[in-house]
Amino acid sequence: MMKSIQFHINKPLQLSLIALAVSASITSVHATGYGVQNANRDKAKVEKWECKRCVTTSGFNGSVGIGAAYNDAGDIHFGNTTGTDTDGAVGHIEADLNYQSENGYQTTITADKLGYDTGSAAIETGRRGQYSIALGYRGLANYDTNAALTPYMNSGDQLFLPDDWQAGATTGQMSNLNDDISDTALKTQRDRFLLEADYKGSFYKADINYQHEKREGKRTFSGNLLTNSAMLAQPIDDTTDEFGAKIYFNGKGWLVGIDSSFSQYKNDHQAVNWESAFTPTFGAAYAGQSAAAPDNKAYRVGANAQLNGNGHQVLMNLSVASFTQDQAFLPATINGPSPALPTSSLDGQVDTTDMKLKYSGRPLRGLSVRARYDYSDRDNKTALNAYPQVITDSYYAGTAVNPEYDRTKQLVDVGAKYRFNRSIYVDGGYRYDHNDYSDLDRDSLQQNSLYAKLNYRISPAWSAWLKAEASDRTGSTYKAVTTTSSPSNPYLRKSYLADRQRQEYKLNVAYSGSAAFSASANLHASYDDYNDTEIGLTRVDTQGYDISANYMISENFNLNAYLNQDWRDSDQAGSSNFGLANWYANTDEQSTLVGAGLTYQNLLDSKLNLGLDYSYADGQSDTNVIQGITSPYGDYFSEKHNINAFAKYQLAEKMALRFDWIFENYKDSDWLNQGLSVDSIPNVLTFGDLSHDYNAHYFGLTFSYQM
Amino acid sequence: MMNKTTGWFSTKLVNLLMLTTMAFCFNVMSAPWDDQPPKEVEALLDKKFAEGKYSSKGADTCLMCHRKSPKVMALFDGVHGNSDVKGSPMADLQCEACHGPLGSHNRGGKEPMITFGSNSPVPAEKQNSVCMSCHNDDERIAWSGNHHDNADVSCANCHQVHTGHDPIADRATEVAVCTDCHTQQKADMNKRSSHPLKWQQMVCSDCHNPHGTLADASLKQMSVNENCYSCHAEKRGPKLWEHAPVTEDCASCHNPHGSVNEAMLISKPPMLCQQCHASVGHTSNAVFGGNPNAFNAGQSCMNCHSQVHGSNHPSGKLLQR
Repeated sequence: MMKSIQFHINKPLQLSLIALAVSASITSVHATGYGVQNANRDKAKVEKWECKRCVTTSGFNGSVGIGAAYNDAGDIHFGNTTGTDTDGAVGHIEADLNYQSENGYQTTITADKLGYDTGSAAIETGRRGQYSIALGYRGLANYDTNAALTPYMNSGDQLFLPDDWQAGATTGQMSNLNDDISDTALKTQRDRFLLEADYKGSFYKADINYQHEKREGKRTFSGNLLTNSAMLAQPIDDTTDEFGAKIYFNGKGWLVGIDSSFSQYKNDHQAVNWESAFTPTFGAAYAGQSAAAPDNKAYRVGANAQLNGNGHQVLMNLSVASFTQDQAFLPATINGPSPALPTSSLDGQVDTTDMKLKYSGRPLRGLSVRARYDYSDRDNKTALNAYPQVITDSYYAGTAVNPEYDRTKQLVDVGAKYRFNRSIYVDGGYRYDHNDYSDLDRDSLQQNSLYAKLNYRISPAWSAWLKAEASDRTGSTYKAVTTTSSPSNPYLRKSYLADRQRQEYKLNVAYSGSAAFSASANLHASYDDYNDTEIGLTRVDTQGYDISANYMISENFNLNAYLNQDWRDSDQAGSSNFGLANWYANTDEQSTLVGAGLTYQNLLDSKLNLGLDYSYADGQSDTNVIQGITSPYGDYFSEKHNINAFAKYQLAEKMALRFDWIFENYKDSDWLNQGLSVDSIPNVLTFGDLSHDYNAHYFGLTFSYQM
Repeated sequence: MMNKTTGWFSTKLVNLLMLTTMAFCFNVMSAPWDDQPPKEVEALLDKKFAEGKYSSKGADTCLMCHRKSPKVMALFDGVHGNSDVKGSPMADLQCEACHGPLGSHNRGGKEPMITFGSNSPVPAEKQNSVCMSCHNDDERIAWSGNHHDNADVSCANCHQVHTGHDPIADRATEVAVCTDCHTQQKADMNKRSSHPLKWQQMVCSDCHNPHGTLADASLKQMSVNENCYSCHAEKRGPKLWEHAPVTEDCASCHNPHGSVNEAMLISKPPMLCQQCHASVGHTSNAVFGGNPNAFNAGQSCMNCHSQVHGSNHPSGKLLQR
């Protein structure tokens, strides 16, 4: 493969000439810097340099470790912190080994928390600066709850009820419900395997990579038949394979390359089939079927080019992508004969074209300018057909044609930065976004934005900056789409398409005057005014601040602390009589993060290192709906205290023992399920109360051996 | 020196301390030219660089004085100090590849050399020109004019060269380094729902390229949605019935850094849904709190419309199937 690249040997020369021509055609600017290519080598007698005092490290170094821990997973939510939901004893392996030969070959083996759901391991070998091959594994896990109550069991695509199930017209009439429910865990595990290789030649660099990911677990889903619904634990069993390859060539003043990727998603499940827990009413069904995420593929290929010279740089990108999906359709209904479908599968295809052009340069000393143009087009090539709509598997409601949602986005951004002196610079710019749409309530949206930043280094110790941005979004006439099953309120302006005036401000002050102490503070605020909206989101304001400090008491003793707080208030309006607003909702959110940490190294004759970190995070959301009367919602909050401590003791020259302690106190509540039992809502079979409230500990011991 | 493999949960603390300590050493280590106005130092460095008076013995000249510094000698633990590595500065102009020609610096050590870090008299842009002269590759193709370049962030603000193990390249410390400046993201990742950044299951560079890209927010993929689809391929489709704001931008409803709301939503349903849906019928009604019902409890609107990310069911137009 590398031999074929030799054909390109003349290409670099051509590109160098182009780069030269580009830079020469633009007025000479202030190209500054100390790059090695610009070094004046006339007086450098490098051939005589022997480097006798240089140190060459070769052979093995690093460490391996083995550990055992006690993990309290009464509530698996704690696993998001520890990386495992194993309740009780759990073991792991860790490694950081490095082998280096005298002539530049290197092999590294790393392992981190291997044995836990979030463990990782990698082996990489090669000759640094020339080539490398890497093989890796990484686990990712998300733990929601292990206390979701459901009478359903699952097998393959089927969610079924116990044999003795007693259906009812309402949840309260399901006589065996409380006997038949059991705890179900909602969690996701991802296992990723990675293979990567790269090669660097004299004027080119090539890289290929492949990743396979397997995902397993359960997530919340809802099975809905007419006005009844049941929360279901939908099984997740899918894989994603990704392959990428790129090659880049470079020379004096230019860099060009091609990136390509292919991704394939495969779902083991084609459908979610469930038995209805309810007695059929008005001729409704005994069972329902929903679609699972369809298998799909994505292809992308793109070319990039960067041309440099005289302090100018031009960057270009052109890339095309195609997203396809050909999963066989499920029938329109499983309850009785299904109306004929226009096609057996979607044979869906969406093509995108992206083009980006960017310029940056320095026309004057202290002045740098930049300009950017982006073009992005989404073209849905999927055939448009009339599909029969059997609503919730129960009744036929005519046909509907799938929408295209084509879109073309364009963006122009021009900016400049001027440095008055070493202490002060200003940076500012203008940005214009233009979007054209199909099948939406607006055919086009435009946004004009102005932004500026003032940076002031007040003294060697103090610095500050202020940023401000204002933008105005508007668009073509708002005309509600008529393809919805019932007409939209004419005063509605969907929040993502509505006219909006936005202001954003940020202020930073930092102190770094002494070797021992540094601190910084930030303030931020934003104001969104949906000035043409009568129905929908009308206002969003955010404010926040943070302060942090670091104090190095001695070379071995360090303290840090931080505090963040922010607020987000939003207002919206609705109308229950299809006219102007007659009800309002306001939601006020706030959150706090406060923490402190210390590390103390080289205690007890340099044998003991200690670390302690504490953090507290909370957040809450208060919602009021006002229609004549004010109706406050219930509690919505979370509170978390974390202590994360370690002590590492050097047992002998090459052996160390480490103790880890993690404590978490976590509590949350959500008015969506607070205090709920599975049958609290007559027509919705819920998972019950999903709040968390726990104290959990993790104690770990790790023995490590230094190679 | 602490080894990174001695543990994991709190290793980041130690590594962060190391990074801080190194940064302090780097920044605070006084140089004889600290008293000179930085502008004059810079002018002198420009002159020295143009003159190109390199040392007679390369690194051996430098190490005559600097070999006593563990920090200096730690260079040999990494690629930048390994002359066998192709492209390494040690295989070319050695110490002077980065620190510039020696000139008269060895005569009393008072003549300035090119130094790195936030307290260096050398402007960030010039510091970075040294690094970029070797590292202008596909990963850094869009460095010029990107957010960090514009904000005068120097390579040495995040990276260490005199080490075998650059702390920013370690997933255990990366998030702490980024959130030192990106404090709003630090607050977000500690909220009720967030991507798993706090305990480093994910790190910032899984989604962003800190060296800049041609996409907004230095995202690694072409668009916000493609970035999300790189891990959430099941939502990629195309599906028969798409939910317009989903195809438009995942950030229409989610804040990927974290939120006080579940599922990183920017607002809670049913209010979130009612910011776009006010049709004849139930979507227009005020949903009051209090007594639990199908609209204000369980999954709220998703009790029935659970396929909010689109449905491939032929009869799934209302995203119920």
